[in-house]
Amino acid sequence: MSLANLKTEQEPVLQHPPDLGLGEEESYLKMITKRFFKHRLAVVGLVIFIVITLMAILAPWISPRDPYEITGDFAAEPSAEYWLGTDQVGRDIASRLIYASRVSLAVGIGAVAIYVVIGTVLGAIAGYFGKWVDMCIMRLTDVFMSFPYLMVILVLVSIMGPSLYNIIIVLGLLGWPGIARIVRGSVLSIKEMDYVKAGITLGYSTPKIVFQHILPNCLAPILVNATFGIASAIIMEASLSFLGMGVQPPTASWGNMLTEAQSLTVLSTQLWLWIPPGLMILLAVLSINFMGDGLRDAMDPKSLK
Amino acid sequence: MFPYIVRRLLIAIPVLFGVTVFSFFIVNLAPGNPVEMFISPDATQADIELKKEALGLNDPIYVQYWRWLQNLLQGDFGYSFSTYAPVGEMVASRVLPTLLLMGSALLLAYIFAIPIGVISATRQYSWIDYLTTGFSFMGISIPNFFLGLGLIYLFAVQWQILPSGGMNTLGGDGGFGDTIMHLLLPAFVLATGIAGSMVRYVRSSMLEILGQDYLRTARSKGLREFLVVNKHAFRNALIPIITVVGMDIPLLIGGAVVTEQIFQWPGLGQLTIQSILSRDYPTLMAINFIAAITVLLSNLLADILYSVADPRIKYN
Amino acid sequence: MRNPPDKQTPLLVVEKLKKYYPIKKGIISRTVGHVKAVDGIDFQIYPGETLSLVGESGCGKSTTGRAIVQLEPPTEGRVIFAGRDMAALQGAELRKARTDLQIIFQDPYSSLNPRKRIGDLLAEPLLAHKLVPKSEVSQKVDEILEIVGLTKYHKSRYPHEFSGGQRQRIGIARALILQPKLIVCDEPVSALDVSIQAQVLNLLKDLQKEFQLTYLFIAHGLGAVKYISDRIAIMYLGKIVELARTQEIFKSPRHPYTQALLHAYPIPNPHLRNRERIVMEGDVPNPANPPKGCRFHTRCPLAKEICREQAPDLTKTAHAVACHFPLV
Repeated sequence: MSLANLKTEQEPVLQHPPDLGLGEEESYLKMITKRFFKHRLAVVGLVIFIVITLMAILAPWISPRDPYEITGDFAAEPSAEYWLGTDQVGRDIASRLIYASRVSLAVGIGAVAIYVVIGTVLGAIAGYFGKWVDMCIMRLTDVFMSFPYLMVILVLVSIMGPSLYNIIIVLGLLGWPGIARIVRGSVLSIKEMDYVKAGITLGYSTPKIVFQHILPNCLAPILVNATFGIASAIIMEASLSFLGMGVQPPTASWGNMLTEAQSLTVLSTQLWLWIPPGLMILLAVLSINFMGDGLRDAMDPKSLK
Repeated sequence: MFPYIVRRLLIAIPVLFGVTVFSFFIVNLAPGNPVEMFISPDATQADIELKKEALGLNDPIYVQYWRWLQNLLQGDFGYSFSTYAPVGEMVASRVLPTLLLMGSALLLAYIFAIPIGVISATRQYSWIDYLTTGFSFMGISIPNFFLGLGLIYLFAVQWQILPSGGMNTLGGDGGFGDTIMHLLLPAFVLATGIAGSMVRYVRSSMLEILGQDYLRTARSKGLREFLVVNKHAFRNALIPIITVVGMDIPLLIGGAVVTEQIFQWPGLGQLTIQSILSRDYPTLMAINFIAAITVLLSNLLADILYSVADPRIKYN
Repeated sequence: MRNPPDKQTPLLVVEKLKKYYPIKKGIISRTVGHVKAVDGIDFQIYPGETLSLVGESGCGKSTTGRAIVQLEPPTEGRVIFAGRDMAALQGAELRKARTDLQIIFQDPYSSLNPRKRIGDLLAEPLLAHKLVPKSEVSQKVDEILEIVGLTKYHKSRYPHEFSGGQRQRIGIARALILQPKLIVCDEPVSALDVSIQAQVLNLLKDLQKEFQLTYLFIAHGLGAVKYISDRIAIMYLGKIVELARTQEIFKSPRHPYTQALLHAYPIPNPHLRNRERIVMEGDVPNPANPPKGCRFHTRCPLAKEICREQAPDLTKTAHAVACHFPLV
């Protein structure tokens, strides 16, 4: 194979690829990360989230006491000994606050992981195969989405019995329609791209095309939706626990720490009981929403400069 | 457009059917039956069995479902297992308060969110913009119940300017003004969540359109900025906003449950919680059904409005 | 230009190919008609030659190309490649058969997966079909890059870092790497700058010589194909109206449409500009409702009564034409 005669008629090809002003090789991941860090709020959110995660992981070591232990007086005010006071039963609020972060994170990440998997698979199948399969899956999505989320969850959780695992499972089994729709939409449009057709003509098998070519290009909206989903799941669990249908005492959850505050006495006289857990929920959700916003902007193809 | 509406309605029917089936079977998965909830301690097993038979609880499940569906189509929602009152009446008496609550929350949210979103977009990166961004994030991140409790503490306990719950003052004369006072806090709480996301949405929608070329043309023709923004830009920004309205309704329904509980607002949300605790299946079914229909209809409405607002969209 | 090797067996045979797209209307989406993108065409391509398919937008040439590489199933008719009816193949058998039949896409900006590095993109076909032991894959990729005029340093880059012309080279490399027998080139230079077009066309020609490739070259104008084709087929509204050797098409076109296409080109030499021109009238008809009789009669300045009623068939001669009154 002689290449000499080919070379004479070509564009002047440099030995090194032309410098497009990108510096080193820019993978998609690096580009996204750079853009994410330009977002001040997103970075703040990330830092707070990391702190909360560390709090959850290191709970046994940083918590002053055992969260289940009834130690002090009932509803004692914050003092040097009990930094946030004690609750109605006499447990240290600060410790419960720290341990409760585990509950929230477990629910957030667990539920979202479950429904992202379910939603992505169903959405990809619907989008790629179309016709009847698509029709059926979309009708199923409609049915699920017609239900007011909270109501169904309340009913299911009251049936299955309130517990952390049940909440994660219920939230996971109900949250997939949103992702399925997004994935389906992405798949539908990506499916028509020439590089997917190229995969077909090159003889790749269908699973390979779907999982290695189509889905990786759908990641952006899935990730953004999942991030906001974690925030949403945390609020959901807190609401459920607040109503008494979620995580039950003595296990500590930021939500169930607020249940007592429904009484006007507690509300007005024992502020340390309900303000700290409420603020924690706010902080956690806020930080995740900041991150999600940053992610969404970083991945937005329209703002590519 | 008309065939589109018909087609959407036709599709909605199997979905509605699916909704009823799902509702029925889920609720009936519950262990424990409603009879156990309100028997006196010395009732014998035979009494319990009689009761169950009377309520039709011993029939196979598809028979119970069919019976329920037939009644439903005739407008009969059955009788509550706990109060024996007709479910239809119970629900009907609660619908209005919830509608009032939801409606005011929506109104409140949009009245604030839309103009603020527009202003925020036109003055991007100004302190107004940052302030609204901050507030909108707070709005969507703060849990309903925490905000509610906080507001009750401030307004009802500390400053004592607003009532802490209920729809009317006990023993009072009622009246419109009284209801409004009671309505203020719960509606505000519900509205914050909606307004928070709406502001961001309006803002990004407007930003996208403000950058478009046809507005530059309008400006270069000498059109005043106010007109440019409000007449030309806004109308096109309206389109995606309409779809979001459809999505807010189901959120409102869910949000109402918690809010009604805190503020003791006598609406459907509170009824839901009571029914769950007392295993009152017929009432639960009815509420679920109504809620689902509301969601379906609001989605359909959003789709129709969308096709009307955007002449580019043709459904055939 | 080589002689049509009429003693050889054709590599690709297209028989009575039809591709209709249904038009749906109404509440239940019933089919009210069809867009007849391709309405019965026949041709053969012999090993080593380049057959070009030329026509205006909407004439069905891209659809034909896609049907041949089995991206869309034909509504009617057969595609026989290397003696096998492609429609009869399924699953793993079809995937294996595809290695001999490749396609180069028109749009360099959507034909490469933006998330994959060029090296991976080119290695993938080899790995998927296990044509080459893993240890040799990298070397093969380097080789193919050199062949299309890039270097192995480009392997670790992403598609967005390349120009349109370079991307088409990558697309060509990808089509080549499986060592196919036939390549369908679907308007491969239409999206490129004119100066780059010539380079890519040259590359394609050189590759054909080097690797004994057979091309089906699809284009919308006669200018691009003159240099690269052995034979040209002119398509109009889903049918082939003329098929002949390149020289004949340019020297003595027989179908009025072909002549009109040729005359539509501006001639640089002012002395040659006064020849008689055939100018088409009117717009291209709707492919969902093609004219009765000869499809071209609505725009043909030479149309007579019979043209409105009876559709002419493509003659079976070496210079084939579908016209009642072919020019001589």
